[in-house]
Amino acid sequence: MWSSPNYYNSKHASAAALYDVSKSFTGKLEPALNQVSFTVPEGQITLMTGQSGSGKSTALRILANIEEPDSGRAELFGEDFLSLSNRERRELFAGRVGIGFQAPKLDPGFSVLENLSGLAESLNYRPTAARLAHVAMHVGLGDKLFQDAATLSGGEQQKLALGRLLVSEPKLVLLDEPTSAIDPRGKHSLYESLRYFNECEGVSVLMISHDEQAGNYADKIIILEAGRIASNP
Amino acid sequence: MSDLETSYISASDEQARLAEMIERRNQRQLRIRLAVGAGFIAVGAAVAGGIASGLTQHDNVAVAMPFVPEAQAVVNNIDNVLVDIGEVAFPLALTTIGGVKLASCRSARIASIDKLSSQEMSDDGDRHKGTVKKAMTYAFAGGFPFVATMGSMLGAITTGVGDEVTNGPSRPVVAISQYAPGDAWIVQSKDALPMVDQYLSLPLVSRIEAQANKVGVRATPVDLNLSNFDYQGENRTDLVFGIDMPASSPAAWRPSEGCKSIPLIMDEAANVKNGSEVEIDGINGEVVGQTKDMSAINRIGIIADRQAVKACLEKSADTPDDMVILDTDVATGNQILAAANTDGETATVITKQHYLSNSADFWRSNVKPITNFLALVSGGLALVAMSGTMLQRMLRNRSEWAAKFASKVTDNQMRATELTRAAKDGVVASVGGVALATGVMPIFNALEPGLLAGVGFREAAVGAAVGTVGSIGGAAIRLVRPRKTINVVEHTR
Repeated sequence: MWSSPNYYNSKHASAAALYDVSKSFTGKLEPALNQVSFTVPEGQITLMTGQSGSGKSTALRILANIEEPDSGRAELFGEDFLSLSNRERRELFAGRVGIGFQAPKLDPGFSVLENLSGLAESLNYRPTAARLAHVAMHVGLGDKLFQDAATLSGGEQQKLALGRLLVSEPKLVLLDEPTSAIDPRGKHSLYESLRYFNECEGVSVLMISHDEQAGNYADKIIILEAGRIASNP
Repeated sequence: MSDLETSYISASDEQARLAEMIERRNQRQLRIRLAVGAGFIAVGAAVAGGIASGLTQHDNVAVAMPFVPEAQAVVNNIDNVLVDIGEVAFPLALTTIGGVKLASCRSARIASIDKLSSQEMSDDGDRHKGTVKKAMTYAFAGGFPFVATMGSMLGAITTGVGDEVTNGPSRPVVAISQYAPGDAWIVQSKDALPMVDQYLSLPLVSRIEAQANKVGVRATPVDLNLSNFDYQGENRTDLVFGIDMPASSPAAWRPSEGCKSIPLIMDEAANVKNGSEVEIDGINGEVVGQTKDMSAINRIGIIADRQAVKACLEKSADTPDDMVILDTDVATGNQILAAANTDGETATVITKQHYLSNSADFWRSNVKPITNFLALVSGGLALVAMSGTMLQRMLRNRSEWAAKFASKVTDNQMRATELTRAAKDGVVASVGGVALATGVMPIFNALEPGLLAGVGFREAAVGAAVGTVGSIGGAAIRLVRPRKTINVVEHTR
């Protein structure tokens, strides 16, 4: 288990939040984000949607500490992590925040089981066999544990990508269009898995998606338009 | 029981079954890791022990280079430095791999290092692994590091050839004891060696023999002659040892027979059979016997009667000798020389070992820098090539590493993973390279008469230095700033 879960000792209203965040990219006239603020409530599934280029991915990547904003504040579990050192940010994020991408970032040369345990082990977390079996079952890969990840279908690979994030029992999962390349049945199955871990383990979720189905599983929907919040209930 | 309850129990059973299966697999992998890790540690310790005992046996390897300027001394010493590096790096790599495997049983992070260093993350093209590949993956890094192996092989070969070039010319000097025993050698100067003519006048040699005879010491005058011989249309260089032959010897020369066909004892390295006719510097000779260990690189050793050498090869019965070998100690040799050298000729007594050292120093100064430089170049090439290999691997796996970095896997974790992989590759390259060198070296010996290059402790150590350090160093160069190649922002898009 993680050694210093002090960030969870107090109950926060939000798992993550952006406050007045702006971000521009070189060579682009319009800012990707313009004074954007929103929260990702703890224990809920938040869907972020909007047209391409509306700034969804940029917002998620700032929350994931992949991109730095030009201005504004970004919080994780109530902590303004932009004011922290790299080391402190690593301690805050490692294992507690799972980050999933549009293309499943797996280790395709390794088996499903090795993929499930691999990322957690890299972060010095050794999952028990029971935990691995539990996650494998609930992402629907229990019967493919010893298969090479490269042999899985696109939908299965995306489930595996989700599973490897969940093995280390994160508190927050950030997903950037995880269902963009999979069929409707695969999407449904992935949303069901997300819902299971959200309800049973209290995992907070921020998911970017254009998929209409996704709305059925979301507790909150944020809509971005041209780098601004269009709807944030 | 409701359908929902039945379904729940069934799912729990399935999960328990899966968990048990995973646990069994984990336990099996744990046992393999423990066994393989302990094996590496044991082999590493054994290699280190072997090196330690090898060092005690080789601690008299001369490193002094009296003939050469400082810069050349540095180059001359490269092989010794590489040997030292190989002695440390190879067992260290073995024990590191073993240590990682053992520690991976306790630390999840190190388990990840061991797993990710055994197979490329993006390597999805080899799903049907054979037994050898599986074993290589469990123990090492799965693949075969071709470039580092070739570097290791070249390092071992150039060192082997260099050692032979340095020490080979001493072989006939050692072997001469079978014809001229003794440790006290009277020569013209203390810098005497086979490649430099020595002059001891015949009157002095006669007086030395007489003095030695007086005190009951065997004295053997030797006249060396560097020449060429032709056999079946092929011309080769040789070194003729002119030694007085007893009348009963088939190699004894009778002056009455002239120089029509002088009897010769030929080193078997020449592959010239008894009864064969050869021609030395235009003089006919007949092979009447075989000897061994009298040849050096491209110089076939030939024994001939000393009088025949003077009269036929050197065209005068009065030519001076090169040395007189006394079967006694140096102190007695000095007394004999002092009593015999009534004309005050330039002459001195040295030990056989001194003569050998002079020969080794000469070749070390003149040829060793080239082979040493080649060994260093092979190491440098291995380093550059492995650095390139590392860059290619980083490019292939940058998407996987970028995702891990995004999840806050540290740069050091990546460095440790890739350096462990490099250590595994280095061990495979060292063992493979030295084994290949051992197989290839006889080809060199077959191409060059008198060459007897081989792979021994020193060659293996240089091969290991090139293989291990080339591999690890090449990887380390690229791992100083991994984020130059792996950009989390770019490669997670």
